[in-house]
Amino acid sequence: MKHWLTFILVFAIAAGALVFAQRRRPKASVSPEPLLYLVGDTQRELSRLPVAATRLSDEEEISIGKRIMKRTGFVEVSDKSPADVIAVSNYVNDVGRKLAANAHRKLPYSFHYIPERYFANAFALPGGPVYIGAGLMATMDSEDQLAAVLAHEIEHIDRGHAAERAQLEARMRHLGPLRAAVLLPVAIFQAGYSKQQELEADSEGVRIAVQASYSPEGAVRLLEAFARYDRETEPRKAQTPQQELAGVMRGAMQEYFASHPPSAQRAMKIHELMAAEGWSPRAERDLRVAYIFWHGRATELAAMGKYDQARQLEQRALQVKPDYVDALRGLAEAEFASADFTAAAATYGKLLDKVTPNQDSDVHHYAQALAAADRRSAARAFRSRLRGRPTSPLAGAELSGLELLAGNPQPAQQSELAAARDPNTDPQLTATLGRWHYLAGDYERAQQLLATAAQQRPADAEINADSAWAAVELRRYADAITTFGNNSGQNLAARMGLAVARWQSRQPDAALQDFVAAVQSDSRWDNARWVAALYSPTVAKSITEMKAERERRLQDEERQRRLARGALSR
Amino acid sequence: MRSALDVEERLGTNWLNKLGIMILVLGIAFFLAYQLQTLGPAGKVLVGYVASAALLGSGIYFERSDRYRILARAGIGGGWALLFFTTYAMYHVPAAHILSSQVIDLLLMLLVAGAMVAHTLRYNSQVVTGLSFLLAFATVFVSRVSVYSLTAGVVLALGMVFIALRRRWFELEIFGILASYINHWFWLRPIIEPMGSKHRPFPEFVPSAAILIAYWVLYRISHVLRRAENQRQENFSTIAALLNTVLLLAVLKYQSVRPELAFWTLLAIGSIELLVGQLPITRRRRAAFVVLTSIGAALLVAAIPFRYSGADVSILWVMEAEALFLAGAWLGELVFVRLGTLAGVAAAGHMIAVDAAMVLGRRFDGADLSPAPRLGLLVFLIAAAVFYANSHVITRRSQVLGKHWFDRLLMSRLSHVAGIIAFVGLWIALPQYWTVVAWSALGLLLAIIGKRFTIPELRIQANLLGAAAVIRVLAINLGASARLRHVSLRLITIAAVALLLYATSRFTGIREKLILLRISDAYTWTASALIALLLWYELQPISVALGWCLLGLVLFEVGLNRRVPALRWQAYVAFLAAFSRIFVVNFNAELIPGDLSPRVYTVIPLAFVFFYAYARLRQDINVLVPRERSWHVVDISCWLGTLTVAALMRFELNLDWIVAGWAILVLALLAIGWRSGLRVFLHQGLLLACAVAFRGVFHNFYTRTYFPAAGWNGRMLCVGTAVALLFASLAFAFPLRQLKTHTEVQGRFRRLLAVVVNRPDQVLFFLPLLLLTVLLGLEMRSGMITTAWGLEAVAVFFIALWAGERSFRLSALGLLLLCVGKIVAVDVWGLNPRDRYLTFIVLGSALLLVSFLYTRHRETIRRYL
Repeated sequence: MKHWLTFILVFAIAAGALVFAQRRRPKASVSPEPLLYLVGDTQRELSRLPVAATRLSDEEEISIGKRIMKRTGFVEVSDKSPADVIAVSNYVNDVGRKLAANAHRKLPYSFHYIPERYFANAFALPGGPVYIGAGLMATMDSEDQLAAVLAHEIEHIDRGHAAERAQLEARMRHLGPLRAAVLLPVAIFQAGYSKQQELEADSEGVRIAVQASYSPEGAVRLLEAFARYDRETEPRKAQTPQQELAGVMRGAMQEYFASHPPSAQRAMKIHELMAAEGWSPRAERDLRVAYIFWHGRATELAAMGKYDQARQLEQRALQVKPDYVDALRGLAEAEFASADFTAAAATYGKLLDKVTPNQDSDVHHYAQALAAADRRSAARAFRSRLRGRPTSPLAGAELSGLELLAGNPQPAQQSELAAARDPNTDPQLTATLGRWHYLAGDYERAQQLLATAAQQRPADAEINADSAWAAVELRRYADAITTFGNNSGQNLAARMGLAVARWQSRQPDAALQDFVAAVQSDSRWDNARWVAALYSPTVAKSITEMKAERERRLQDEERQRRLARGALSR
Repeated sequence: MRSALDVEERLGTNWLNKLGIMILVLGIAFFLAYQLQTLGPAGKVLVGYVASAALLGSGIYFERSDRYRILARAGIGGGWALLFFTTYAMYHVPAAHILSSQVIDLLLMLLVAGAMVAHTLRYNSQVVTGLSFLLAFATVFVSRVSVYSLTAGVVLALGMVFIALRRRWFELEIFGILASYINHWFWLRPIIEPMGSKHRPFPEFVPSAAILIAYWVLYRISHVLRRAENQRQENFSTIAALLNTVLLLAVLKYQSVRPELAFWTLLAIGSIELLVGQLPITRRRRAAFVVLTSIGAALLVAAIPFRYSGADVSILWVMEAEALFLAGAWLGELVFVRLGTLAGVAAAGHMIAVDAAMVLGRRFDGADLSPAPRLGLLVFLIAAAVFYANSHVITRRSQVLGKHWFDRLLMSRLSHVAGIIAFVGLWIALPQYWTVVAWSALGLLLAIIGKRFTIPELRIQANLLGAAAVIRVLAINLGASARLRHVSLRLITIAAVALLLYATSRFTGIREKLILLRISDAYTWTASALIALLLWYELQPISVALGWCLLGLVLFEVGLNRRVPALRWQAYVAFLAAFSRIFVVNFNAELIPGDLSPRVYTVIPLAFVFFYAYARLRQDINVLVPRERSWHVVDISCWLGTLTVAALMRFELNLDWIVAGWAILVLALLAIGWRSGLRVFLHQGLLLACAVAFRGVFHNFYTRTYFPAAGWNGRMLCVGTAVALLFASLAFAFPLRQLKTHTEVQGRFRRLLAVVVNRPDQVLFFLPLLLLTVLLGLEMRSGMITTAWGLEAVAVFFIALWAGERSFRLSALGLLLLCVGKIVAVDVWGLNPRDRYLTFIVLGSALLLVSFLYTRHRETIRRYL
C-alpha cells in the first residue's frame, strides 16, 4: 500500500511537470551544446594548470607575434594609402590605444585596419597585434561598438589565449617557439577560440572598455545585430524526431568546431555582467569614420541601381563630413542618374569648388548636368563657375559645346579649326566636340569629328560607341551594329546602341533581346528623362517603342499561358 | 555401332516408306484437284481409283511377305486414303466433280471409310489404320472447299472413335482429336484472318460450330464409354479428354464473333462436363470422373469473368469454390474439396490482383483515399471468414479431410490465404491511418483464437499482422498531421496499436517452432518503442524526457508487479533515454527572468522517478533476474538520480556557486547513507566531494578575471561555504566507517578505492582542508596568510582532538610547521612591521596553545595512538 501511494505521488509529480511544461511551452533548442559545453569546460579546466606552468614568456610571445604579423599578407597602411584608409586606420589606433591602457599585461599592443570590404572579421596575434577588417567596421554605427570589438581582441592577448593557441598548435605540429613563429599559419588566429575563451574575452573586454569610458551597450547592440543575423540564417526548427536527430548530429559537428558561442548568448552574458556590476546606461559615441563606410555602401547601392538610397547615404556622410569629396562626387552621380539634373549640376559645382585643380571628368559631368537642366543658361553658368581658375583645353571644348547648344556655333567652329591645324591635338577634345554636336542635333558633323577621334584612338571604346550613336542617326545601321557589337564588352551603353540600331533596321526580335539585356545591366535606360538628356530623340523614341513592344509581348505570353492552363483544367 | 545401325534400319525400312506414301498420296490428291484441259473430272477420278487400286493391290500382295510387310502396310494405308479422297473428290473437288448428289458422295465416303476400317483391322496394326486415317484427314484438308466438305472429317472421326473403342487404341484417338480440330482450324483461317482483330459474323458460323460440337460430343462419348485396361490407357484417355475440351474451346474462341456467348458456352460445356462426370457410367472409372469433374468445375469458374467484372467475379468465384468445397466435405469426396480449395485460391488471387490492385492504383498517387467498406468488409472479410472456416472449422469436423498430408498442407495454406485476404480487406476498408489499428486488432483476435484452439497458422499470421502494423506505423502514421476532434490521429492510432500489441503479447509465442524466440517480449518492446516514439512526436521537445520517464515508470511498476523482466528492461532503457535527453534538450531551455526555471521543473521529477525505481528495486530485490543483478540496475537507478540532480546544479547554479551546491548534495547523500546504511550513497558522496575539490581548484581558484568578483560571487563566500559543508559532512562520515567491507579485493586501484571508501572521514577531512588552505593563501593579504594558516591549524587541532584522529592532528602540526617555515623563509624578510608583529604574535600563540593542548590531553592522545 505504501509503495502504491509513493508511486502515485511520484507519477503525479512527473505528470504534473509534464502538463505544466506542455502549457508553458518553454523554448529549448535540441542540440548537444550542454554536453559539449560540459566536456569542453572540463577539458579547459584540466588544461589550465599545464598551460599556466609552461606559458611563453612575454618576450617570446611578442617575438612570435611580430614574425607572424609579417606573414599576414595584408598591406600595412602607410602615408601612400588612400586618405580614407589612413583616416580609419588612425581612428582605430586611437580607440585601440585608449583601451590597451587598461589591459592587465603591458604589451606593445598595435592596431591594424584591413581596408577590404569583404573582410568582416577581427583577430589578435600573440604579443599585441590586433587586426580589424573594413567589412566588420561597416556594420558599426558607434565608437563604443568598435571599442567592444577591439577590447575583445585585446583580451584574447591579455588573457593569453593567443599565446596558448600558438603554444598548442606548435606542440601539435612538433615545432619549437622559433619555428612556430615562422611556420604557424595566420588562419589559426582568425578562426577564433574556444567558447569559454570567447566568453572570457567578451566579459573582460567589456570591463576594459567601460574603464576607458565606453558604454557596454555598444557590445550588446553589436552582438544583438549578429544574433539577428544568426536567426535569419539558422536552420528551421525540427518538426519530427528524425529532423531532431539530424539536427543534433549536425549541431554536434558545428558546435564542436564552432568558435564563437551564439551571439544571443554572448549578449545575454554581457547583460548579466552589466546587472552584476551595476553599470548605468551611458550614451554611445558616434563612429567618427562612419561616413567613409556610408559612402562605400552608397557606391554599392548605386551600382545596383538604387540611386535614391545611395543619395540618402551620401547626404548622411556629407552631413558628418561636408568636405568629403568622394561623397560629393557619389551624390552628384546618383542625382544625375536619377535625372535630377539641377541638383546634380549644383553638387558638381560644389565639387569643382572644393577640388583644385579640377578633374576633366568632373568638368565634363558638370557641363552635361548643366546642359540637361537648361540648355540656354548652361554656358553662362559654366563660364561663371570656372572663371579665374586654371582650366584644361577640354574645359574649353565643353564650354564651346554648351555655346553650341545655346545657339552659338562660333566657339565650337574655332575650336574645331584649331584642333584641325594642330596635329598634336588631344583626340578626346575632338571627341568631346563631336558629342556636343550630337546633342545639338548636327549628326553629320558629330560623326565626322568622332570618326576622326576614333581613327586616332581606335581602342577607345567610348569614342567608338559615340561614333556609332551618330551613325544610327545617319541611318548607317550596319556600321553602327558592327561598331556597337565590337565595343559592347567595354562600353555599357553599346548594348542599348545595338538594340536601337537593330530596332531601327527592322530586326525587332534581336533588338528586344539586346534591349532587355541593356535595361537589366543599367536601370537608367528605364528613365526617359535621363535618356532624353544624353541621347537623340530617335534613341528616346526607339527605347519607348521597344519598351511598349516588350510589354505587349509579355501580355500576349501571359494570355497564352492562361489559355493553356484553362484548356488543361478542362 | 549397333544403335547407329538400328536407327538407320528403322529409318530406311519404316519411316522412309511412310513419308514416301504420304507424299505420293498428297501428290495424287493435288493432281485430282488441279484443272486439266486434256483430262476431265471423270478421267481424274478414274486415275484416282486406278492409283488407289494399284497401291492397295500391291500392298495386299507384298504384305504376305515378311520382308516387305512394313512397306506393304504403308502402301495399303496410302491406297485406302487415296480411295477415300477420290470418293470425296467426286463431289467436293471441282476439278473432279462428277457426282451431283452430296448424299450419294457421303454414302460412298462412309462405305469407303467402313471398308478401310474393316480391311486395315485385319492387320491389327494401329500404325496401318492410323496411317490410313491420317492420309484421309490430309486429303480432306488439302481439298476443303465449303463447310460441308468438313463432314468428311466428321465421318472419319466417327470411324476412328469406333475403332478406338473396339480395339482400345486410345493413342489413335488423340491423333484423331488433334487432326479433327486442327483441320477445322485450318479451314477457318482463310475466313477469320482477313477480319483482323474485329470478327464479323460469317455464313458458315453455325455449321462450323455444329461440326465442332459434333467432334466434342463424339470424342466425349468415346471417353465415357471406353474401358481402360491399364493405367497407360487411362493416361491416354485423360489426355484425350483434356485435349477434346481445350481444342474445342480454342477453335470456338478463334471463330467467335459474339463474345457475349462465351459465358453461356463455357457455362453449358462446363455444366455438361460436370454432369457427365457424375454419371454412374463415368464414375466407374475414377480417372474419368476426376477429369470430367475438374474440367466442368474449371469451365464454370472460367465462365464468370466473361459476363461479370470486378468484385462480382470474386463473389461468384468464392461462392462456386465454397459450393464445391462444402459438397466435397458433405459427400466425403476429396476431388470436390480440392477443386473448391483451388477455386478459392484462384478467387483470392483475383481479389488481390484485380480488386485490390485497382484500389491500390487509385490510392497510389493519393488521388482517392476514400475507404471502400463494401469491397473490404463484405467481399474480402467474408471471403477470409469463409476460407478460415474451411481451413479450421470444416476440416476439423470432416471425416475425409486431414487424413492425407496434401490436404493438411492445402488447408494450412488456405488459412494463410485467408489471412492475406483479411489483411488486404482491412486495408481496403480502412485506409490511411486506421489500417494499422484494424491490422493490430485482427492480429490480437487471431492470436487469441490461435492460442485457445492451438492453431499455429493463426499465431504466425498474428505475428505478421503485428509486424505489418508496426512497419506501416513507422512509414505512414508517424507522419500523420490530421486531427479527429482536435486530437491528433497519430496519437489515437499509434496509442491504439501499442495497446493492442501489449494485449497481443499475452497470447502469442510459437513454442512449437521457435522455442527460443521471445515473441511475447518482442511485442512489448515494440509497443513501448512506439509509445516512446509517439511521445517524441507529440510532446514539446522539453517534455519528451518527462514523457519517457513516465512511460518507464509505468512499465517498471507493471514489470515488477507482474514479474515480467522484459517490461522492466524497457523501463531501464526509457530511464536512460530520458536521462540522456536532458543533456541535449532540457539543459538548453531558455531562462525567463523572474520565472521558475524550466530546467528545474522538467528535470527534478526525473530524479524522483530514478530514486523511486531504486527504492522499489531494493524492496523487491528477489524478483530481479540474474542479468539485472549482474548489470547492477539497482545501483544504476540510484546513480541516475544523483547524477541528474548534480547535473541540474551544474547548469542551473551560478558558475561560482556550483561547488557549494555540490557540497550540499554531499552532505545530503552522506546523511541518507548514514540513515539508510546504504553504501551507494557513501560512494556518491565521496565522488561528489572529489568533484567539489576539483571544481574549487580548477574553476574557483583559477584567476578567470583580473577584476575583483562582485558580492555573492566572491571566492571566499563560494568556496568557504563548500568547505564548511564538507567539514559538516564529517559528522556522518565517521559513523559510515562502520559500513566498511572486509572482503578481499584484487588489483591495486581497487584496493586503493576500498581504502578510500572504508575511511570516508579521511577524504572528507583532507579535501576541505586542502581547499581551505589554498583559499586562505589566495584570498588573504600576503601579510596575513601565515596568521590565517596558523589559526586554521589551531582549529584543525581542535577538530582532531574532538575526532580523536591522529591524521588530523598531524595535519594541524604540519600546517603549523609550514607557517614556521614561511615565517623564517619569507615573512621575516618581506612583511611590513605591523603584519610582521601580528604574524609572530598570532603564530606564537597558536603554537603555545597547541602545545598546551598536547600537554593537557596527553593521556587521551596516547590512547588514540
